[in-house]
Amino acid sequence: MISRGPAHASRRRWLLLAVAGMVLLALLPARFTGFLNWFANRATDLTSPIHAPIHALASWIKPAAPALSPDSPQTAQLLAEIDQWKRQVFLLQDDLRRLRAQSAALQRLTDLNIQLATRQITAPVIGVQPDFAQTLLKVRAGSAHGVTDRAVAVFQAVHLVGQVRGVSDRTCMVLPLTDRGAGRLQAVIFTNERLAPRPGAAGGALDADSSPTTDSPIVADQLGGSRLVAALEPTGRGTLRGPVGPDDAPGATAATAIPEVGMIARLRDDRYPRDSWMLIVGVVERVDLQPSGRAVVTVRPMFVPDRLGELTLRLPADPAAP
Amino acid sequence: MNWLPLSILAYLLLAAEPAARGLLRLGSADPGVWPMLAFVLVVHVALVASGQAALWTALIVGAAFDLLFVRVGPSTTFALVGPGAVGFVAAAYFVTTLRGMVARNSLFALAAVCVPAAAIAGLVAVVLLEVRSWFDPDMGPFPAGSELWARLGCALYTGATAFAVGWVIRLLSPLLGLGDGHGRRSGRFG
Repeated sequence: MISRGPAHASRRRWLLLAVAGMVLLALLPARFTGFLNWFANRATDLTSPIHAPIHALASWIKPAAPALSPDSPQTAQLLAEIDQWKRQVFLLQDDLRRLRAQSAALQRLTDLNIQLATRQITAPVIGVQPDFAQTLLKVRAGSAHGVTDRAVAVFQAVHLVGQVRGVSDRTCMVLPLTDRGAGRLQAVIFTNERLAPRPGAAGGALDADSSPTTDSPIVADQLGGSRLVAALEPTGRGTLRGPVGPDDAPGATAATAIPEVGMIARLRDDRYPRDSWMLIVGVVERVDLQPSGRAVVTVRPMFVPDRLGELTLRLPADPAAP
Repeated sequence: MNWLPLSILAYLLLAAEPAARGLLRLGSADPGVWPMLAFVLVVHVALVASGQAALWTALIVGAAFDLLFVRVGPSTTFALVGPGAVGFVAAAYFVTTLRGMVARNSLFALAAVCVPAAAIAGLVAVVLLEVRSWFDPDMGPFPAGSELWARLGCALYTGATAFAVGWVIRLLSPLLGLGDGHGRRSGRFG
């Protein structure tokens, strides 16, 4: 029989103490374990040099969106510019409706708010943290670059990716809008705006073998169509789903239309800065009619969040601004 | 056991873990399924090293594993250390009790042991997270059932990838001071 001395017993005691400490840390509420964030940030810094190249390789193997057609780069660029301008038009249109319903004083204050300039920084996604609880994108831009908590992240300027949730000196974490932890999102659907129909497809409808991508063209037959409001919740399957109702915002025209597959959902949520409104949330890929007659839509973003190689963070131009 | 080379290998596997999750993830629904690369190292050490060394390795690698994945609650983002570490220790303890019955120098044995060990690690972690969710508002809603199923899927996936990861680890075994995989002792705390 092997004889075990006091040193062995002491080591075993330390091990048991360490395990007990880990159990305690696992159960202590987050407000008591804030010091662990410092260690987590250092762990992130230490692993980033290995993490980033592997993620770059992964993004290359599984890109976020198909590359633009090499034979018509100018066309693709123009389509992207059209999307940007269209977003600006919708934003201005929404502001106009709202301003008409407000007093002169409020109009002035709101006008000042709308003029709040934003600064955009494009930063590489150096990793994805797909965990059981949520999928976070690790981005190489942190408080040293002016990134603040809850800053809005976008892809190709107009596609909403999510919000910053956790910032360290050099990196930050972005929680995608499709993650279950992101919570409910208010969106507006313009009934006259939809994906351009593909050649051979009927009425711009989506089919199972061709998901829309960020370079899919969007057409609006006329500006100022009726609007629907959707309260979208992440499904955990890369989509958002929720009931649709008429837009009851001041100045909005009552809509009796029901949403259709291919329509575009845009952000209009009080929890996001106003300058982020009208960013594209995704495209309606499914419409279910409930027995009550109410429509429930499923919206899918036009990119895959955990395949993004880089994204843009929208920050206040003046860091001291609220 | 040489701690420095082992630490370097653990660092490399841990650093590769988040990106490998993105690359090797199966399933489009949340939570998906992915392999735990560093866990294979923990199981290998538990198969061939002394019991104390195996448990300490599991504890340290598990704690580092926890630090890599912050959680987002309803009001705050926080690092959560413990569930992975305790789960890894439980898994390593399971392996040390089992290793007398398996051919420790076999990749098939490593892969086969990885599956139940990872399932145990997942079960322990889910239990701790579920208990925590009862009283910590920052945890938010915790879907214990779906998370447990996902972790069981990860256990199977980890077992499948253990062939490749285990092959690399076994190549480095002499450098790690882990011999040829036969181990020096068979006792749980030898």
